[in-house]
Amino acid sequence: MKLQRLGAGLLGVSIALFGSVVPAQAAGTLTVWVNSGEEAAYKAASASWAAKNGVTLNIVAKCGLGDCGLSKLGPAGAGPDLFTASHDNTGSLVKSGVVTSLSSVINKSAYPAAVLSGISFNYQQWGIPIAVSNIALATNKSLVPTGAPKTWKELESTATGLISSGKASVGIVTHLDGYFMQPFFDSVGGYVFANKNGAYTNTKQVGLYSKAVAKNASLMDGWLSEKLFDKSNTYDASAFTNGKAPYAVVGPWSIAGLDKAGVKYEISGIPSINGGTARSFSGVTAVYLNRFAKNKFLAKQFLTEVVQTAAFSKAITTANNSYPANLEAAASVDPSSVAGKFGAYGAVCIPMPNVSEMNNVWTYWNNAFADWASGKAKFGAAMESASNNLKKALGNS
Amino acid sequence: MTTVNLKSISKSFKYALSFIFVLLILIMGAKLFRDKAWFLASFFFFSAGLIIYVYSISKKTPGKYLLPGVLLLTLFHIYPAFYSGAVAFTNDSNGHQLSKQQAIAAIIQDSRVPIDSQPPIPYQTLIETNSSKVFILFKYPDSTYWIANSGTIRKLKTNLKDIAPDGKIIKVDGFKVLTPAQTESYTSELQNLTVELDSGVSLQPQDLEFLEVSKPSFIYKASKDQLVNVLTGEIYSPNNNGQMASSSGEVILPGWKATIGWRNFTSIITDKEIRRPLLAVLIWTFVNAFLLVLLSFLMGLTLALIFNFPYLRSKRFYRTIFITPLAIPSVLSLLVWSGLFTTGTGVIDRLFHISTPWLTHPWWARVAVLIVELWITFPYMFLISTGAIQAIPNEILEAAQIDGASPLKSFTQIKLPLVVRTLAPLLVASTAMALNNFGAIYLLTGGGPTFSNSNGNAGATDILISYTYKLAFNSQEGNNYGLASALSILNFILVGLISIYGLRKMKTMEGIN
Repeated sequence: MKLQRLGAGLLGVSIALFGSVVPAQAAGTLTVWVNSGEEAAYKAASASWAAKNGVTLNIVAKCGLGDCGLSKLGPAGAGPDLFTASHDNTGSLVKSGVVTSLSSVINKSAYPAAVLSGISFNYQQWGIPIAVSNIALATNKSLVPTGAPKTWKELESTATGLISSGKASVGIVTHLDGYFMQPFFDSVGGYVFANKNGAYTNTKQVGLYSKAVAKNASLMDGWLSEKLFDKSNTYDASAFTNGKAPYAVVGPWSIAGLDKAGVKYEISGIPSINGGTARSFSGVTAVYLNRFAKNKFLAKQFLTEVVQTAAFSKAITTANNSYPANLEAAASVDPSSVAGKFGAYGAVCIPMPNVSEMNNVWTYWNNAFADWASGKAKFGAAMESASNNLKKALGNS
Repeated sequence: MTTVNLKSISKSFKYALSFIFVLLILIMGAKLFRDKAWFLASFFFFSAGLIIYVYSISKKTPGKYLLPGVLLLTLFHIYPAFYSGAVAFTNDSNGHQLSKQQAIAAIIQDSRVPIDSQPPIPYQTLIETNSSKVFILFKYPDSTYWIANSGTIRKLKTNLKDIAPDGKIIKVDGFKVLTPAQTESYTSELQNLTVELDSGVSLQPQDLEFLEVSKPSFIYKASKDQLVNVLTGEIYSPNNNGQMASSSGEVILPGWKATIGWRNFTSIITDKEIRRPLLAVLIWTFVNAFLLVLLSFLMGLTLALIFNFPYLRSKRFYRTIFITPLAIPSVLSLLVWSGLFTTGTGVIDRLFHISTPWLTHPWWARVAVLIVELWITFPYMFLISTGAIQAIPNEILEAAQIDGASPLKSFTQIKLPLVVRTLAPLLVASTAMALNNFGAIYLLTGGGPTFSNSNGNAGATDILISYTYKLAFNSQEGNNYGLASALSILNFILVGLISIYGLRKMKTMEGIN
């Protein structure tokens, strides 16, 4: 008897539940995935718009810079409306079909050409840029009172001098991988794919073992043996902050740590050898629209009225020490500030390739640097085999 | 009196708890139902029913004890096993996540080129009174009014009195004309609505008021299942890998999830790019497992023999010391070890004044992995060996002594066979565990250092299961769930075969007894 009552009760409740659980996301709600640690900045910068339009904004901290499983969650209807990603994912996101074109939303005149080429693919724009970040050189001013080096010679002689006098254990604190070594790699004449104004349309031309690299490879080997680079391939940030390394390759994300350690530093571009270029890869953080978003109209309105404004770009970049992608916001950055110095170097940098072929590059390129660092191969030999393997994988040979 | 009261209180408490529990299961079921996970939803509903049925029987039945285990086993073991089995026969990977319909819609959508000379045109939203379907009403390309949705388009015969001065329609027979405020609740229908005109132009709501006019470069011909590029005239039809491909082999991305039969399995053998790293990984998987079990058993047994020596003092203290690695969470020791192995500045290198590329050189990394795994597993071997040795009846050893057996002989002829026979099942189990020792590899080296010649993430210390994980979730070339599932099935078969072989062997040993 009791049991039947229990069963009837459960049935009633579960029917009621169906009514309450089944309706999906209510209209007027936007879900945005952002890079973890930046959710507060996004919330603050969009709160007034949300309040004015009666929109519930769910800003969720996610890994943020890659695909974050979105290629699986999106089509299943479990993705957000909007998400941030770094621009080099554009190619893979488009090829997985999980993002939708924002060509009709973006105000192209608000962004520099290099930024636009980063979020463009197949002649369409796919993201609304917010911030630009690139790695730069930090100089420890208590170890090098003259400050940032003007030339490569100055950098090299300062570092080797400090190492031989025992004051420093390593010259430049950096990761020995493709992304962090790119400025030095560029300096010796290497490149990944040929690019034209930052647009990588020809992935047939691989420059991992270009003629210049073949010629200058011994320079890299020399720098490793004179401890300019640390062959243990560990990014020992404490060596820089404790005054055991005069230089470090840092990104905007390192600034908070440096300030906390209380070290006196100066940010500058990385000097090139022989007056050439030493460009790092600049990465654009952009907001992308999920193809399977629940509320695309509202999402587009948010992009147009909030994300695309100079104020938004400025607010986010101030919070994370990066440089605004928006031209108007960038103009308001103090050139002597840390962000200003990153930006000044960033202006001569090249966008990280956003083609999906880049996925193959990272594996071979990083492995080549690792082999070089561990002493398994000389720089030239490591890059030559990486180049050959890459060409084979891409079907270029 | 009080006892009765207590009883009824505990009873109603029990009912309330089970009510809440079953309710939770039903809520989960309802959510899964909403997300169209049909199998899991029906499983949850079925479980709820079964739970009510089994636990409402007033007698004690075996079902009451078995049911929770059976349900959880189904949910967490049997269902995932069948799921990955199913995934192994698809091309589930990055670039193949959409359904075919979604993929074709995405290709057409992405190829839309806005017609620059044409400003967006205003539209109104209508609901058909009979079917409550959403339609849009617009005036394009001439001054005629059209009513359309994704499939149909027809001319609207207008009366002058139905048109407001601003050109908006007020009334349409058979339809309800929505006000802008009412339109908002139809956002999800409107944002997926596309009207294809015969002229090749397509109209799509860009917000709640305007239609974007654009021209897609692709047209899908449903009758022939073909995509046609209107600019070049090239025809694309589905290939056997869930993609649209032209006759010259050019494919358009994105593709869709398709069943590809045994290809994931055959590619393990036929595709050189997969086979080469996999072979190296397989060899290391077995070498690692057997070496580990052998070394840790030898070490555990030796220590157990030493610390079983009758005249040794404070045996308990030593035994406790040896068991501590077992008490420390292995995640913790793995992370500490990876710090100790830092080249040059790590504790180990400083201790011996060396600079060894522990985690960056393939052979040293393998050695490091073995050292750490040994550290984690030898206490277990020590423990069970101690137990096995102590379980040997003293009479046997004494009898051997009286018969004049030397200590060595009594060890090799009596102790060792007895210990091995007792421990054989555990050694087989340990081997199976070592073959699947994902945590140690993943946390210590991450499988690295990666092979420089493999286009994949395979590394020198990768075992099959960590390589599978990388393929599925952590691959730079894009996650390949299909291939990873196929490999996990392979892994299952290998571990299963070894376990069966081991257990068979043990049976023959029991026969000696």
